[in-house]
Amino acid sequence: MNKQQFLVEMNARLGKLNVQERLDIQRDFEEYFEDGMREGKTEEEIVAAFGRMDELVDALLEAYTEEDFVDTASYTLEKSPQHQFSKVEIKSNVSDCIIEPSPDNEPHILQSNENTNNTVKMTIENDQLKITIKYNKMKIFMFGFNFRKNSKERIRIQLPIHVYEEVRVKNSVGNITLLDLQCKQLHIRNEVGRIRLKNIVATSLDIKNETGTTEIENVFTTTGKVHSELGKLSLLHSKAEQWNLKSEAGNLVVEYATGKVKARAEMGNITIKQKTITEAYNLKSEMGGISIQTDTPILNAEIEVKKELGSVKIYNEKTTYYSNGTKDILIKIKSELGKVQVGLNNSY
Amino acid sequence: MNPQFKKGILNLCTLALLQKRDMYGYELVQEISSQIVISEGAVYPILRRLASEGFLTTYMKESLEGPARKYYHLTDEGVQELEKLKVEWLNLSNAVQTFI
Repeated sequence: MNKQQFLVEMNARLGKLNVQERLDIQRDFEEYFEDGMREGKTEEEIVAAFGRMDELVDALLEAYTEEDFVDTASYTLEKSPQHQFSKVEIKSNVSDCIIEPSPDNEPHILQSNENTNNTVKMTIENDQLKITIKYNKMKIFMFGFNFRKNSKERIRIQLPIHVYEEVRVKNSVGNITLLDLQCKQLHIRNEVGRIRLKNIVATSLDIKNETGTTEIENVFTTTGKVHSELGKLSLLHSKAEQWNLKSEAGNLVVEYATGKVKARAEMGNITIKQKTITEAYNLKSEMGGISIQTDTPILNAEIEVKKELGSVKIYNEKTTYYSNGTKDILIKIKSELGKVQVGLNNSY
Repeated sequence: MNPQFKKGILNLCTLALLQKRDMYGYELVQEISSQIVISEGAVYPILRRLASEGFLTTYMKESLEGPARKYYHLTDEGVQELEKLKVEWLNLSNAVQTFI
């Protein structure tokens, strides 16, 4: 078993634990893998040394109290003759949705027992699993949800582990969290609330968030298009051939992500933090500052800055142009008002 | 080894190691497993329970090699718990010594 398989299986088996705790456990084990691999161990060796999965999971669950478990009502699919699907569509008008792998390879919807105001529907039509969640009483919900990290989860949608052709999620109000999912096309729309993606493999990714932060971590894709209108957009430890990032009012943060990056921010700052940069970057901000920090200097690059007002510094020099080596990598920066800085991580 | 017995010993070793200095998960597990045969996964449930009982706190610290690590720190309550477990252990081990 490799690291990814181990983490997905552990996460599925810890199913009754609330998501925040599970993410925390997953983080601790990821750190352990990092440390073990730095010492030259393979993923498989590390997994083997953890001992038996069922013992580990039982021991972990024993370390928690009832409060950390989710009290849920479960919805399971009515058996239909055609029980196969390669596409998933999830529509919800007001709830916090967590989409995660199913422990028994059947789709399930779990929701807290307190939440009897929701109408939940799950059907399969033409190769597509359709889930709709409707909140019946619309009166005061605007005060009911919150964006806190530990906000109690509402709905958990568990999908069989499979490489889906397409997964579409549409939500009006509430947070969306996607964990450990694989698909070809991933399409997410949210009006109000946070979008969070972790451990996702998708050939193409298209996310639009109107109000609320968007966090992408450990996501592998070919083309990643992410548009966060008002909230902060952060892209961490992820990989694509091309990233297309856009934020109207929020800050845009890229940390340790690989691939070409095209980023547009109107009001917010663009902050890039990488080991180094080996692919083309195109960064543009109207009002905010742009900063690129790398652990080691960017080699074989040409850095061009277009600027109206505000200061520019490239490796501590006040210049708008810098080149080095073969100049294969083009880094274009355009900023109207904010400060532009390119330098080493430790120089700030 | 008897699981309850092992759990008790792991509690004691974990608290004792953390009294010397704050440690992150991997180094703590390696220290213990260099002396005692354990499943390396077994330490995490123990760390969680000790933390939820207030014997440990955690904090994140940047590392030179990669992403930030979670460090475990012994609290005053943890020091008291350690003293209590140490006494229990010494009494038990002295008693067992008289038989073997």
